Amino acid sequence: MQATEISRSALDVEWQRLQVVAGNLANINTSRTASGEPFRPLRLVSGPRTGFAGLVAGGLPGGVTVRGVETVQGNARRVYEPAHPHADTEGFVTYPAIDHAGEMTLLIRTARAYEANLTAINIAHQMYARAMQLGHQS
Amino acid sequence: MEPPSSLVIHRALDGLSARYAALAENIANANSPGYRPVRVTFEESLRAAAREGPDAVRAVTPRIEHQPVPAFGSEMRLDLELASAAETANRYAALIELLGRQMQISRTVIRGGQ
Repeated sequence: MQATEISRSALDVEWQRLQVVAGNLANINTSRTASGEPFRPLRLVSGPRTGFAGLVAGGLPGGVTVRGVETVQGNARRVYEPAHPHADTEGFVTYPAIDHAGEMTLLIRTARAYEANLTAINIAHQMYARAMQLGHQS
Repeated sequence: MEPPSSLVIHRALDGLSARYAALAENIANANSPGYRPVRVTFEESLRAAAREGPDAVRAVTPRIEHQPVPAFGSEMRLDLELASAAETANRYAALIELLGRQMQISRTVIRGGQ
């Protein structure tokens, strides 16, 4: 069931990527996090579990794994709102500068990758089902 | 049926299975930055080994290599990977069918043609 496990690892990773993107979009108007710092958009970084050298040396493909969740460097969005409780001495509130179009594009890419892995699982199951018919009395 | 024939089918099934795992790996890493897709080749070496004899066929192992870098655009094509996966599954099914037919012939022989 090796191929199914590879695709399964990708389903897990893409799902987590979806959650990170959803978190970015949900915090688009967050002026301050619990630690007092302004919110920074996050990006999930994934990579193959077995490198190419490992594959050539006879290792099995291990699927994909989460390498980490990192903050995206970018300028903050400063808005003049003197009445806001989080406004600084000059009357500006700091919001995260979330690239809305970029997040939506990543959302679509993630969903597409998720679907592709579901299709791959289906194809793998068809292969196994055929193999199990081997030697079937007919 | 001569024995090498079913031996070649077994090796080809192993090769197709390894190819499917490689395709699944590529699809799984569709969003991994800097990932270079891999592919599995075995047909050429299997064809050469089939001419030499059963021992050469037994020694055939699928070869893993990087896919060539496309001339236009550097992104992996998810649709092409899925198409290859479907083709691999179909060829796998065809070989299983072939093995099944061979078994059917053996069964007919054992039953004495009844």
